[in-house]
Amino acid sequence: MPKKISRRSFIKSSATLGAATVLGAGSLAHFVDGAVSSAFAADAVDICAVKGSMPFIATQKAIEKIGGIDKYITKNSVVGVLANAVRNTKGANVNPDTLLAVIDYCYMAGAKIVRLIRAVPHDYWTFGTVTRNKEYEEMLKSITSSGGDFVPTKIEGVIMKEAHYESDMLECDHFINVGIAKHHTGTHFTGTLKNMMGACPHNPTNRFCHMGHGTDPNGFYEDVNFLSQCIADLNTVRTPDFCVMDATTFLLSNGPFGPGDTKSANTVVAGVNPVSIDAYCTRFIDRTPDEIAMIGFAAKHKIGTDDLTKQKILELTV
Amino acid sequence: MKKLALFSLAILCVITLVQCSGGKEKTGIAALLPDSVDPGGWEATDTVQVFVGQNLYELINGGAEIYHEYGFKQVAACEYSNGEKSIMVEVFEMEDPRSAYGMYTFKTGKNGKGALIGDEAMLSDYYLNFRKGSYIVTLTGYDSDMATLQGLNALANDIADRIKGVPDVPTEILSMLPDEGLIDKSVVYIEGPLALQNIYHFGGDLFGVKAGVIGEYPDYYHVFLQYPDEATRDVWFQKARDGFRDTPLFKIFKQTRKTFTGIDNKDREITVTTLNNYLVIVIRK
Repeated sequence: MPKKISRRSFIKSSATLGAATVLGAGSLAHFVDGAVSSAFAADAVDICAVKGSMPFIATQKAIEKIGGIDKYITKNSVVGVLANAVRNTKGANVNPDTLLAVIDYCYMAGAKIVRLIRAVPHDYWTFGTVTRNKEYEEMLKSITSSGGDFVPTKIEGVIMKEAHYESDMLECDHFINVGIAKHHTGTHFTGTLKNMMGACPHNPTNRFCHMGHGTDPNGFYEDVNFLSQCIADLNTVRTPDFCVMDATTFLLSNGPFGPGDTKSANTVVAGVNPVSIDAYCTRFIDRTPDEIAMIGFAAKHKIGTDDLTKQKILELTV
Repeated sequence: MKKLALFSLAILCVITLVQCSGGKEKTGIAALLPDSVDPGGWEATDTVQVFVGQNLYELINGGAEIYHEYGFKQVAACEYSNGEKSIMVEVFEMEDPRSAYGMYTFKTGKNGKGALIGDEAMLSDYYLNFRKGSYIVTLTGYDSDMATLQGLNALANDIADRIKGVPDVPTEILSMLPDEGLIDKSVVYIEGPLALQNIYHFGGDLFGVKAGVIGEYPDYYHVFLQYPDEATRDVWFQKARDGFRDTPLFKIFKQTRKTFTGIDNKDREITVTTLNNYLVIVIRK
């Protein structure tokens, strides 16, 4: 059982790390208290984008503004977190502090187990700032990852009728999708919808998505519309309880792995469904939602709306 | 042909782990990676991993397809450390020097700085790409500190010395691009539709791309797609014209005998015409 970290200890340890030099210890304490109190605010929004110098704090603030973690995580529950962290290249992974903030909040809300649906790369946590805090050592050590138990599952997709998913993703009480808004050479954009492929094995599921219409067994995702429809189909099996998108530093070219040109928007976005949050976050890579085929396809599945005028959006700077 | 080669390779797909430091002597592509490099005291921290053919997805799942489009054969990857910093090195062997050139132009951006390593090299912020013969090598640091940049250079020079090969640049295709206004380092040699779709998403392979070049200008992109002969070019001209006419991508479609134009919902204008055995595409930004 991971050690529960009090807000007080976080403030103390963050200051030790030098956070105080960024925000000032006083302002950090004030901010964290303010973030928690907002959990009880009645004016929750659909999407909240928080710009700030500390991803850990921006993440927690964004979650609070979409209703607070207590709205999504029940006590003694098992939480599955699907994070896009595949390679320690600048702008390719979800910021470790953002992922830690999500996990930390889950435990604070009373989660019994928080499990990563996909393992993070070796040394991943060392690339964060707050993650290097000794206070979190025990928690990070305790985090387990799914073990490749992929279960064939019937889905009602336009193209896909069956796909394999990590059993932990299907069976967990709560599912959180943590993506990074970055470039992708095939689909142009990787967000939370595309991240669902991280819960699936290369063979047979992801390979099928890449094959195009099946006319070319050696084809790759040159058939972007096919791949995009498959991604939308994959997302029909389970909609996340909520999503978080890291837009702190991300690839603008050579995605999803890089290395490539990067941009820092220093923003973390939380949202209640993957379609809307992806639609919102296309702006970070200078795209619009209608340019990313999977967003429109997922909207047609009624996973969420890509019409941002129908979303209550809050943008903050902390 | 490339697809056939890939299929053959797929049958033989193996992942081999070759001891990088100490132990067995390395062979094949793994031998292009040194055990250690001075100055800077960079040493391999683990084993060299080799991925062949379609098993590339095990190294870069989701990022492998563009390599396959250019004709990927195999890659050797190894991480190095000087005790404080780390550098990831990947040596990609492509089908031929022209494929390596294409992949190099695709991977390198406009913001890099040229370096005298191999046939061509570019240092960009925290990483370095170079090509030599049929190989493209990517070295990725985790920061832009001086020690990291020196390590990138030291490792790249060592590896370049180990690679044998001569360059092959598609000069005829490249010469099609007008010089005036061409943005420095913007040229991308392409061998398939995926690379083209990174400039503009046509919703599919409307052009049957096998070889071509993209050049960026202040207000537009110029694309020249090469075909074996004018008859083949005409086939694809007609297919692309029909595709433009039928796709919902374009709200306006216009055509003359040798030109057609689509205007999309963002008022971007894409015009296609012919020139000898080339299709010429002009994409307004």
